[in-house]
Parts: sequence; structure tokens; C-alpha cells
Amino acid sequence: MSQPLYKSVDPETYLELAKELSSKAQAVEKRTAADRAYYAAFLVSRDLLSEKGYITPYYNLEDHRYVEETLKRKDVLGSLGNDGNRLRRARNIATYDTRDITTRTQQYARPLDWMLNTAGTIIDKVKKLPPRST
Amino acid sequence: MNSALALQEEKQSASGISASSIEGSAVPKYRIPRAPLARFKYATTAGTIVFSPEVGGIYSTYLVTTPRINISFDEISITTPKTKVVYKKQKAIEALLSDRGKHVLQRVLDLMEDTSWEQKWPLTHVEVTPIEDAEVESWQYILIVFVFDCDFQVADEYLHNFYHELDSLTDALNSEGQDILQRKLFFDVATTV
Repeated sequence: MSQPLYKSVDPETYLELAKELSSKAQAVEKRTAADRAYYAAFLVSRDLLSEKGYITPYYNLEDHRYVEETLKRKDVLGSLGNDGNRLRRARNIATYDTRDITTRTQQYARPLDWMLNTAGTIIDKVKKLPPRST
Repeated sequence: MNSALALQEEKQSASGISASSIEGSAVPKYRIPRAPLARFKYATTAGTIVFSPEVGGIYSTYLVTTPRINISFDEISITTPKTKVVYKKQKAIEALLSDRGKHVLQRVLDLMEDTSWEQKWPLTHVEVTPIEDAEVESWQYILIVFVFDCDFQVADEYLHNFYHELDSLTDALNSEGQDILQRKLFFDVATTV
């Protein structure tokens, strides 16, 4: 059996990495922190929602939509799940727009501390969800 | 029975304290709603949004809700709140929302109007914009942005307070309405500061 190219990862560690990178000075580090904060929230949500019986993931891009819509369900996070979408839009800007970013030029850009806190909140809430009763 | 007493009784009726209805002997100064006041919290407007011909892709309107009745011990006043709502890419919004979707959007905007008034939001206007995701193919939704005249942290708190109201609205919608709120309508804030 061959060695894996990448070993398995606990997606919550992306948030730890994001926090570490957020204290660095370079833009590349801060932008990577923003990107990882979103992915921590998204991947933990996807995996836990699947484990607890709320969704059956596709394991492709479509899961971003699937997870965000599921987070808003009233038996999941309710309206607070909307923050997952806000986090995604802020991440898209930090990842794809290489110009200077301000909220004047990019209305949906968010401060890095907000992204870290929001990702942490989503992860905590999803962890506390009970298994879905069928 | 004077109008203040009648309205007080109406409030009691709405909260379940008294089941009696209003039977005023004198003509009240203002028309008093017969329905319990609690109904007016989320159901101020029954209609749906009607768009006028699009000009330059942006359609701006003032949201007008049913006049709000303010009651104190010795005074009744009626106000008609107005919040500017800017619809960007109106045709795309219409394409994304069916008539039912427009009705749910109207309910949300009515709720926003109520909440904004009750919590004294420093709201300048609301923007309604169709969004297409940067990565996920065919993922389109409507983004409702509350534009505040305060810093981001405060605006974010207002939005989080509004989430509680939205959860109550969700409970009041049927399954189709809940589905639209869940999949088609998303929310964010922007600030002018």
C-alpha cells in the first residue's frame, strides 16, 4: 500500500493555523488566514453535519452551497447560519482580489478578527448540534 | 369607552389576559384595529413587491408599511415609517424570486421596518442585490444589505439581533416560504462610517 500524498487532517486545525497566521505582518499571511478561517468553518460543518445525519455531502464544490443552506435551517443554526454565507463572501474577496481591500471598495470584505470569531462560533454551534432524529 | 382604554383592552386581549372584544360606544379618534395587536408585528403588509419598469438596472423605492399605532397611557399616535430600499439589477431579482419569493421578501422588509423602528437602528437604506457565487456554478441568491450609519461592530450586533426576529418569521411561514428564506435570501450589513 502506497503512502498517502497528504495525510488526513482535522479541519478545525485550519482555524488554529488561521489564528497563528493572523498575528503575522504580511498580507499573504493575513489573506491565507482569512481563507483558512472560512475553510475551517465550512469543512467542520460539512463533516459534522454529515456525521450527525443532516446532510449527505457531494465532496465537491456544490457542498459550499449545500452546507450554507443547511446551516440556515431552523433545526440547525437558524438565521445565525447566515453568517456562514457572510464568511464565504468575505473569504472570496480576500482570496481572489489581490488589490488593496477596504470596505469602501469591497462592501463585503470583513476584518480578519471578525472572520476568525465567526468561524469559531459556527464550529462551536455545529459541534453542539444533536444527531438528527429521523 | 375612550380609545386609549379600548386599545389597552385590545392589548390585554392580544396577550391572552382578557378574551373580550372592543365594543366602543364613542367614535374613537383613530380607527382601532379589531385584530389583536400582536398580529401587526409581522403581518403589517399582506401584499407583494411590484416592480416598475427598470431604469438603468437600479430601481429605488420607499418601503411603506401599514401605519404604526403607538400607545401610551394618555396618547395615541400614528406614524408611517419609511426606509429607502434600492433594488439593484431588478430583472435578475424578479427572475430569481417567484411571486411567492417576492411575498417573502416583502415580509422580511416589513419585519426589518418593525425591528429598525423598535430598536432605533441608525439605518440609512437597504440594498437588495442578486449575487452569483464566485466559484459554485449556478448558485444565485438575493442579498439584502442593511446599510448603517455606525461602525461595523455595532451594525453586526444589529444584524444578530435581527436574526432572532427572522427566526420568529420563519416559524410563521409555511414550508415553501421557509425554503425561500433559507435558500434564496441572505443578509449582510454595510456601513457609511
